[in-house]
Amino acid sequence: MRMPSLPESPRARWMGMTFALCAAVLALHASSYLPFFADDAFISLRYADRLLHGQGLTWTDGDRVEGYSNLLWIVGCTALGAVHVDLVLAARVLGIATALAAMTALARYVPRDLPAPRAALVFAAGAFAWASSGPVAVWSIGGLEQPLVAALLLWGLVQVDAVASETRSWHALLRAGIPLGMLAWTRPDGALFGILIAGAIGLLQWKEGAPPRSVARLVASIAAFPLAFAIVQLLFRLAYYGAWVPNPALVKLSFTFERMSEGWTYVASSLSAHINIVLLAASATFPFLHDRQARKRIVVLFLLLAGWLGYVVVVGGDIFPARRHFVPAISLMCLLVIEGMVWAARRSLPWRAVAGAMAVITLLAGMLRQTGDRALHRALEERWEWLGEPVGHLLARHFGPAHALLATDTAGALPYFSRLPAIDLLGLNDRVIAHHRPADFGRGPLGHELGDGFYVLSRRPDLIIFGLPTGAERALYRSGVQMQADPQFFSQYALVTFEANGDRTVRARVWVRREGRTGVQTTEGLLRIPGYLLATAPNVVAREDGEGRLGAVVTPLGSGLARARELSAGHWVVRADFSGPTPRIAVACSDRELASGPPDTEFSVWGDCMGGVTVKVSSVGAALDHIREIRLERLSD
Amino acid sequence: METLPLVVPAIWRRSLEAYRSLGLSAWITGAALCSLMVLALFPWPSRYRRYARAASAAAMAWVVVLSLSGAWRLSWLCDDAFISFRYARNLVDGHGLVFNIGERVEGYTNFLWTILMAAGVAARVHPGQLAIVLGLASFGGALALSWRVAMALSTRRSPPTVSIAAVLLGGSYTFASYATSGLETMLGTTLVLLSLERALRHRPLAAGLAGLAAVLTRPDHAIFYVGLAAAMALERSRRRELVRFLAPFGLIYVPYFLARWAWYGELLPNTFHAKSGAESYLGQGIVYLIACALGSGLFGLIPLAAAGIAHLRRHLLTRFVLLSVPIYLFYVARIGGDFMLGRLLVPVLPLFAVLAEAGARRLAAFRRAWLAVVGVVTATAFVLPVRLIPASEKMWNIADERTFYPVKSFSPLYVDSPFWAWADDLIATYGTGPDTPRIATGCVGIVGYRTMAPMLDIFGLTDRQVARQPLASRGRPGHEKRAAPSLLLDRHVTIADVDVWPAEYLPLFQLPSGRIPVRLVRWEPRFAHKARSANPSSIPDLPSYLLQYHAPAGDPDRFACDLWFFEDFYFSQAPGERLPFFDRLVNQGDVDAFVAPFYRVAMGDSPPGWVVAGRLALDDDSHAAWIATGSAFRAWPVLQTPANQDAVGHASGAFLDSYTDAEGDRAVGAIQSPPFELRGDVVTVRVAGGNDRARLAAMLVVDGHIIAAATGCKSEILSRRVWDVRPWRGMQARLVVVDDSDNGWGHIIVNDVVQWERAR
Repeated sequence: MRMPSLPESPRARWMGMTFALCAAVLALHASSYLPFFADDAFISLRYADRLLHGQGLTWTDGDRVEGYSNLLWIVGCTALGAVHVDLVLAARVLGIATALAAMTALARYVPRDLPAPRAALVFAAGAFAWASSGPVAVWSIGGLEQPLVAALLLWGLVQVDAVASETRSWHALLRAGIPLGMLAWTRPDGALFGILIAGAIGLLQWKEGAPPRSVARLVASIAAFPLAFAIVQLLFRLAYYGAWVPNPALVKLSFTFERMSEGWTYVASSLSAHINIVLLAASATFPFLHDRQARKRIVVLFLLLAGWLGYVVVVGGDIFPARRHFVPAISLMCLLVIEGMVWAARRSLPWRAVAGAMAVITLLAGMLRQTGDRALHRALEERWEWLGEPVGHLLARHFGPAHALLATDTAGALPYFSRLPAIDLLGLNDRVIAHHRPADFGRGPLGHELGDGFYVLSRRPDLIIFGLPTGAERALYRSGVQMQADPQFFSQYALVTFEANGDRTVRARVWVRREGRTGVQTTEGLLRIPGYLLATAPNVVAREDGEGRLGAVVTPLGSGLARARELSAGHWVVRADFSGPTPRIAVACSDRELASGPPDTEFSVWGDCMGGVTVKVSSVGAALDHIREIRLERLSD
Repeated sequence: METLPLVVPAIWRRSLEAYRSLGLSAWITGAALCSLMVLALFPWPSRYRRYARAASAAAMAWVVVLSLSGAWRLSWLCDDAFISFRYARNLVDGHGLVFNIGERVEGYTNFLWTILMAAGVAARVHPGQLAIVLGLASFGGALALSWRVAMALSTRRSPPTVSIAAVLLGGSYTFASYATSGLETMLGTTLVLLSLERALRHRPLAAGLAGLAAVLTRPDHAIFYVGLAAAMALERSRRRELVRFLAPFGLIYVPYFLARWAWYGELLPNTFHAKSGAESYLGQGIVYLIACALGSGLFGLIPLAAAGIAHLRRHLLTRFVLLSVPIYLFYVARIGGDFMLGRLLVPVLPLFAVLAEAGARRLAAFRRAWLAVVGVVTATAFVLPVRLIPASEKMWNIADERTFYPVKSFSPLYVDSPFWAWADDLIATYGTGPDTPRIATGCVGIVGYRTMAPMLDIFGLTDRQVARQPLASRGRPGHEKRAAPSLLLDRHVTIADVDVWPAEYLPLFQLPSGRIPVRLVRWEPRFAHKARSANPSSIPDLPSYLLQYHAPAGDPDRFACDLWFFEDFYFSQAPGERLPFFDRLVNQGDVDAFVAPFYRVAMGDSPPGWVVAGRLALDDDSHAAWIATGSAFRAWPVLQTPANQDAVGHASGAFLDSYTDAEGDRAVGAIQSPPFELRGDVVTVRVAGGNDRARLAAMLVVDGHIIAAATGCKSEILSRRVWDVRPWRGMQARLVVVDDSDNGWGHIIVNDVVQWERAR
């Protein structure tokens, strides 16, 4: 939709200055939320990272699963990553750039026949509403695709008016259709916007008495692009992933009363938090009542807004900080603000003065009001994603070479930084879990309801982290709860406390498989117990020493304790790879002590020790020991 | 400080409260000034035109006189002003522009003002009195100049009878507050206005001289100087005037700059480093601007000023304002503003006022009188005496500094401040001049000027070393860097208003004082005798205390800390007293005779007959053999403390520190050194940090057994421990340091682990 134009000369200067000012406001505003970065953004970055490393558009090895819902965003990040831009920075650059692109669309929406200073002031009202909005600022640096959605939506809207006009051409159609089509690739629900726009314009044409055939042709030409893009993606999905819908839809979508109730609360609280922009957008009522041309545009905008908010209600809102799904709504309301301001700008000085004063007061008051918005405070406070960085790096260094399989509730930061093959316990990136919906699906926390503990255990993950990247002893969600309900879980897994060093030291509690790639290695006459498996006891942690070797630090406050399976009869010796004073190592079979002493102590096993062997490593007196491995070697039968 | 989203609503609420709490007299005054400004909007009746000039002059005279009388009642002299006075006095006394004799540090940012003060000192006028008179004169000048600028902007249809800008500025509490203060604020503002007024009247050389004088008065006024030059460059008819406008810069400023560079050896003033000028503090700066805009009522001027800009958009004034004011405000925001409410906004207030007057008059002249009246009523917020920050309080790192330093008497000069009283006490005890104890305080102005004693500025404005410390965390602008206790010892400070020693020794270092807690940093015999001769109870009798001292029974840590305190507090100044004291302790059985030689010498000295047998390498790049756990010792041995920790005193090379950047005292953990052979009979180790042997300990471990242990003394000044290790000589030992405390002082520092053996 575009308004009439006049030759522009000082207009470009005025608009440019206003744009620069509002861009500075947005950049400053967004930077105040750094280093916020959503965990799900790391999921997208893992797809991008694996794509860059030639592992395809996948989240993990094996079955290909479409665990993202922002294809174009991932492609954009990958493109920047291909020129060696750090992916987190790439997502932020893309976020800011597309938020600014949305702002340029707002500038484009201002009619060109307005005199230069007035046009700039009208643009300033819309652009400032955009730049000062908390959700826009947060999601410009938050790592997800919302600014791109807004930019494509606004550019599509700015161009679509030419398609509806009598002078429509293929060029106009392409200019409007491509952004709307790309919107369908940016989010699977993005096609909804294109269809809504086509429907609304068609409805208006029909109301104005256009022949049905002409209306149908118009609707089809606008809707063709989003539909075509969506179909292309569907074909890709079917061919590459073998699925009809993206995996997140299976994990999140449920049409229950509870979901709609949550969605309604989400939309209502978002509207309330942005009451200033809502009120300013309401100023579009004046042109709606008095300007026939503007009325058509406003009807389209209003139908789009209502359609999107209705969709958000149906899907149950969102779980992320800072009202993520409200960003497209804000972009639409900014257009309505511009509509209202344009109408006032064409009136006499008192009208203009009142409108200008109202805009300034409302926007400033809105800025003050949103400082109390809890949803924005969450974006200021939520930093747990970054705890996944040192933990992920530690896992990558020590479990990466063995290709250990990681199962985790947080599918973002930990898998991204560790680069380990992984199982998403909540199912967003796992086809099996996503297809096993429980009977009460749709009544629990959005995106956190699914799980299948038996399936996960059958995959024999080597490392399991419940909850945040710092881990937890007890599982919170379905997969973990079911796993821990199985008595085998506690015999197969040991809870190890790791200490990871990054900008700060982070402790993570990780369930480590006692046997297998990361656990005790048993060969004929030899049992190798990795030192970190000793960090199951209180006050003992597994961490790297000065040379980067992983081991358990045994102190006077805690002895290391590890369990292994059977030990056959024979003459054995216990050896240790350690640094620090010579520790004491006790080997026991059930309650029977087999050996106790320094490393290289020999002992005999009479009859097989089938109940499992326990190894306890203690430091002597006040000393600290770094134990990297315990070996039990059979010397003779 | 709290985050911006929390502070801004608080300022908003506080300003609403401040407006609600205005008294009746304030509202009546506001209403009267508002009425005057509304009347001033309308032209003088044509039938009395012959009296117009006289009436105008009389009215302006009244405005100036009443404003001056209001400003006089608000007279104050802030502590920072006395820093300039001290520079001025040292200059006149022939020591050069220095704060401490012999230390060339540029701790002022008001060269011209300081030179004017020096002229006053040379003429035997108290610089405080001169500063008040000059400030008031500048204030009157600013009002007159705003009138002149308003005249220059007026149309023939509405020549001003009374300048609305002058009424606004004269009635503004914020503007009138800085008529005095002892600082250069009002002089700089007046010079900026003079430069503008001269430029408007096509007097480029005078404008350039005034603008340059403003830059010499405050370096950041260069923004206005450059802004005016740029505005002139944009006007074709004025471009030829630019040469004359800029000529003084090359002729005066460049030689001045080279001279000060040669004198101080620094391109930037020390205050730039002390205030961390290179680092952005935008959040606090925005808070400052919002607080000042609400506190001064500046927001009320904005609609009329905007109207003025709209009407005069091609005028030199508007170009000057649009080019310089946004940059200046951004600069103020970026540096975090100031701790004095309104001070940095004062230079732009006249510009807003004259623009507001221009806007109101243009609206009135073009049949928008009702809009002009509405604007003037809104602008009345500027003249309401709102006290956003209550007297003697600090909010959001800002204060109404005037309320801390009111002038109670002009002649003789008396400022009602506890620092004035402290200076009186110091003068009575030690006299004045350089041969007096070195004093460390955060308010070096009043005490420094009145006593002329050697000073250490705790906040580093006049101290190069403190000013260049890394910034730990942001706080009150200009008060964020603090001299560590160890620096006070290194600089031979004797008296301070901050604590250097743990509270356990308070009776031995506390001095009787008024409202300021005064502490002895070191017990210097010559000053102690002087103080005791003036007043026997003015200083604790430490020598007598030491004569009766016994080691605390069963508390070796307290004993070790006592010895550390006596060493740094007393024996370092009176080394002759050390030997008899330790001889007595050996005789009493408090100190083992075998290790006594280590106590009989200063910490850094080798005892006679002993040589170093080995030293634990803490600065080894390879930490492979070290074992650590927890977050406390992640950084391994370090060479300097984190920015948010005080510098460690008496450190020799690298040290272990369990205080971390990320967690501070909350970090816990343990670290163990590689094994080393005990080749000596004695091990000495330096320890600092918290005092809690159970949770904060440095231990020497042999075969898992702790053979010696030490904890800190609640200080970052390292204290030495001496361990007799003869029974374990030849065995392998490890140093184990444990921090299991997350309380305040929950950290430990270990340095200089040395083995000693007898010289052969």
